[in-house]
Amino acid sequence: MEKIIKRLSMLLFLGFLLTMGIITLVSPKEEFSDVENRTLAAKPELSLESYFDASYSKGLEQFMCDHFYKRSDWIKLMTHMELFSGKLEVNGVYITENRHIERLSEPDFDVVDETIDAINEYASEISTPVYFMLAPSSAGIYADELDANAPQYNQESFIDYVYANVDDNIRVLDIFMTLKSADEEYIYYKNDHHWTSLGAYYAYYYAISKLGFTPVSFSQYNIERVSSSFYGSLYSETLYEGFGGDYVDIFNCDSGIQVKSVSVNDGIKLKEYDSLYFREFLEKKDKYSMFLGGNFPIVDIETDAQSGKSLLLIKDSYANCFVPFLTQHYSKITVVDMRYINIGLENFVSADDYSQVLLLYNASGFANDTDLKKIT
Amino acid sequence: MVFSCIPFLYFFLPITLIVYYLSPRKLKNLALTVASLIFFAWGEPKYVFILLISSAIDYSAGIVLDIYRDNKKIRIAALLTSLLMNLGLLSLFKYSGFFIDTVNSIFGSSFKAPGLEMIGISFFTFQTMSYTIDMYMGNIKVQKNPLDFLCYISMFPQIVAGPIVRYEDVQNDISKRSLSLSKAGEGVGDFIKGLSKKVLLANNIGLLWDEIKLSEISELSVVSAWLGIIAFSFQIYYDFSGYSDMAVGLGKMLGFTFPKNFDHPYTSKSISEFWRRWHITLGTWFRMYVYIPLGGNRKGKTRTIINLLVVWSLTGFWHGASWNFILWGLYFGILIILERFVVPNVIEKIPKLLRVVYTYVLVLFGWVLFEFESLKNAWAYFCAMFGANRIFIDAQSIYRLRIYAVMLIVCFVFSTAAYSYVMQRIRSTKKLAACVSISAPLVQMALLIICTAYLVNNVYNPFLYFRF
Repeated sequence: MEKIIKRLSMLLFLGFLLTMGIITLVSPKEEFSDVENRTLAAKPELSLESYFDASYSKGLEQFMCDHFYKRSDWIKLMTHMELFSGKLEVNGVYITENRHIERLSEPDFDVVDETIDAINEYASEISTPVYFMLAPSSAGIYADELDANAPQYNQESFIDYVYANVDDNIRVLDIFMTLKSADEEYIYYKNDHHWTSLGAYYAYYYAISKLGFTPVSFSQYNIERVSSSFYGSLYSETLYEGFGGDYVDIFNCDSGIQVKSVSVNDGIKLKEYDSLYFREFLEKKDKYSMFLGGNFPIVDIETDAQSGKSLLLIKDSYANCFVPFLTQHYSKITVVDMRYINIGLENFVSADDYSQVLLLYNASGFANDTDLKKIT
Repeated sequence: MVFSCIPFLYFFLPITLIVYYLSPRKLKNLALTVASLIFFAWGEPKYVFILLISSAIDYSAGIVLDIYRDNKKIRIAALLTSLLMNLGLLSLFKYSGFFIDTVNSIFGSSFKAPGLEMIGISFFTFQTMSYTIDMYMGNIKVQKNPLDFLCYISMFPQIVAGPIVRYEDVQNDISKRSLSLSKAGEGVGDFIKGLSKKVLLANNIGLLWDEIKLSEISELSVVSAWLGIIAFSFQIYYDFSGYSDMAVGLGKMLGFTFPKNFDHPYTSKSISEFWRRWHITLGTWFRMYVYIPLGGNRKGKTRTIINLLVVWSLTGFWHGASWNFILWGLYFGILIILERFVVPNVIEKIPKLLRVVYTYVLVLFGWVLFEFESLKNAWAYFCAMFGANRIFIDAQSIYRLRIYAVMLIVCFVFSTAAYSYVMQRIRSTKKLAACVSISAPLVQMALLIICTAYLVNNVYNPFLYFRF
C-alpha cells in the first residue's frame, strides 16, 4: 500500500513536470502580454559569447518564465496565495475590500519643484489666464480604505503642497473635496488608475463655473454604458478579478453642442475624425483609450459652439474623458500632451491664440512627471 | 542553475530523470555526469574546466595514494598536492578579495582583487578533500574509474549548496545502487518539501528581513528589529534546509542516499546541540578533518580550547570571506567552550523550555553578526533590538506584524518538532495513517502547483550561498 502510493507520487510528479514542459515548448508564443500590459522576454540568441558569459542561460530562464503555459493563471494563483497569507498588496498595488489602490511612495521633491517652477514661469510669460487642476487619484480619495498602518504617501497633502507653491496668477481648481464628497458613487475605476466619466463630470461641474460657464446639468446627459468588462492598469499588476469588470460610460448630450472635427496629430501625420470616442478600443484590453483614442501630442477639436471661446488644454490621460464635457462650452480646444512633445511648446501652439489655458494632471502622475517642465 | 527555477523543474529535471532511467545500468553514471556538467555549466560555463581539472588532480592523488601505500613521503606529497590545489582554488575564487583587502588596509597598498566567483566552490572542494584525506588515512578504498569519480564530484543534486557528501557516504552507491520507483517516490516527497520550504517560506519571510535590513538602523523600533532578525533566522533555515531536502530527494530519485543536514535546529537546548542539528555535514567535516587531527579533546583542556577556537573560526570563515563571519564562528566557539567548561552544571538545571529560548536568542544574536558585514552596523542593530532608538513599536512594525503574522506562525510551527510529532501520532492509528498516506501525493501536487505559481512570477528568489 505505502509503496504503491509512493510510486504514484513519482509518476504524478514526473508526468506533471514533463507535460507542462512539453506544452510550454510547443504552445504558441506571444510577444506581448495584454493582461499584464508588458512585452514578454524574447528568446535569447545562442552564440559562443552569450553562452560563455551566461547571458544566454539567464535569458532562457526569463524566456521560460514569461512563456510558461497559461502564465496568467499562475500569476492569478499567486495573487490569491498572497492575499490568503495575509498580504494586503501585490506588485505595489493594494487590494482593498472595494478596489485596487496604487501604493504611493514619497515623490522626489526636487523634480516636483522643477515642474512647479516651469509652470510658474510659463504662466508669467503669457497673457492668457492659466488654470490648474490637479486631480486626485483613487489612492487619494479612498486612502481610508487602506489598513491604517499601511505605508502610503498622503496624496491630499501633496496636492496642497503643489497648490501652495504655484503663483497667485495661476487659478487653482481644487476638486479634492468635490470628489471626496461623492466617494460613495462610481467615480473611479476599480481596476484602473483613471477616474470614470462620472468622476470627471463632478470635476467638470465644479471647474467649469470657475472658468466662466454654466455647467450642463446631469439630467441633460444620456448615459451610454459601452462596456462592463474593463480590466485596466492596476489589474495588470495583480490579475485579481474579485471586483469584476469595470463599467465604461459615455455621457452623450444629444440636445447640446456637437463636435465638428477632431484632428489628431500623432507626431508624424494629421488625421481627421468626427468623434471624441474611438469605439474600436472597446474590443481591446485598454478600454480607457476609447476616450480620444489614447494619448497624442496634439489634438485639435472644433465644435459648433457659438461662444467663440477657445481653450489650450495641457494634460495627461485624466483629461481624455474630461474633454467631452468641455466641448459643450468652447468653439475650439487644443489638447496637448507634453509627454509626447520633445521641443518647446511654443513651436507648436501659442497660448496667445486662446482665451484660456488649463493644466489638467492627476496627482499621482504629476508627482513623477518629468515632461511638463518642457512647456517653457 | 538552482533547483527553484522553472528551467530546472520543468525541463532539466524531467529530461535528466528520463534519460537516466532509460540508460542501461552501465551508462547511468555517464548520463548523470553529463547532466551534472550541463547543470553546473548553466550559470558559469567557463568554470566547468576548473571542475574537470580539479577532479583530475584529486583522482590522480587517490591513485598515487593507493599505489604508494607504504611510501610515506610520496603519500604526504600526494595529499599536500590535493589539499593545496583545493585550498588554492578556494582562496582564488572565494578569499582573494578578502586577503587583498586585508593586505591593502594594513600596508595602505591598492592591489586589485581578481573578482572571481564560482558557485558551489566551497562545497565541491570540501567533498574532494574528504576523498583524499580519507584515502590518506586509509579509511576508504580507491576509486579507479575516473568517470565514477567525476560523477561523485559533480553530482548535480549537491554541487551548489550541499549537503557536503563525504566520499565515504556514497562510495557504495557510486558503483552499485538500487533504483526503485517507490524510493524515487519518497524522494519526490523530500524534494517537494524542500521546494516549498525555499519558495513558500524562505523567500516570503525573506522579504520582511530584506525590507528591515535596508531601512535606516537608527530609525528601527524594538519590535521591527526583533521581527527582522527572527525573519532572517527563518529565511536562512528554510532556505538552507530546503536546499538540503531537495538534494536528498533528488538523490533518492537517482538511487543515492545522502546524509541528513538539518534536524530542527531551533529546538536545541544548548549551543552545542544547535550545531549538532544545523548544517550537520559541515560540522562533521570539520570535526573529522580538522578537530580530530588537531588532537580533539585528547590533549588536555588548554589544547581542547585552542582546537575549538581554531575549528570555529574556520567554520565561520567558510561561510564567507569577511571578518564578521570569522567573528560569528568565534562567537559560537566561545559559547561552546563556556557551555562545556564553565557552566555545564548550571545549564542542566534550567527548565527545558528556557534552555530552548536561551539557545534561540543567542543564535539570533549570532545572525546579527552574520548579516552585517560592518561591525558598526551589527552593533547598531543589536542596540536597536534593546531600545537604543527609543521606539518600542511604530505604525510600520504593526503593519509588518499584521501582513506577516500568518507567515511567521507557519515558519514557527514547522521549525518545531510539532509536525513530526503529530505525524507520528497519526501513524500509530491505522485508519488515520492510511488517510494521510493516500492524501500525500495530492498534497505534494498542490504544493508543487503553488510553488510553480511563485516561480513563474519570477518574484524575489535570492541565492543565499553565493558567498559560501
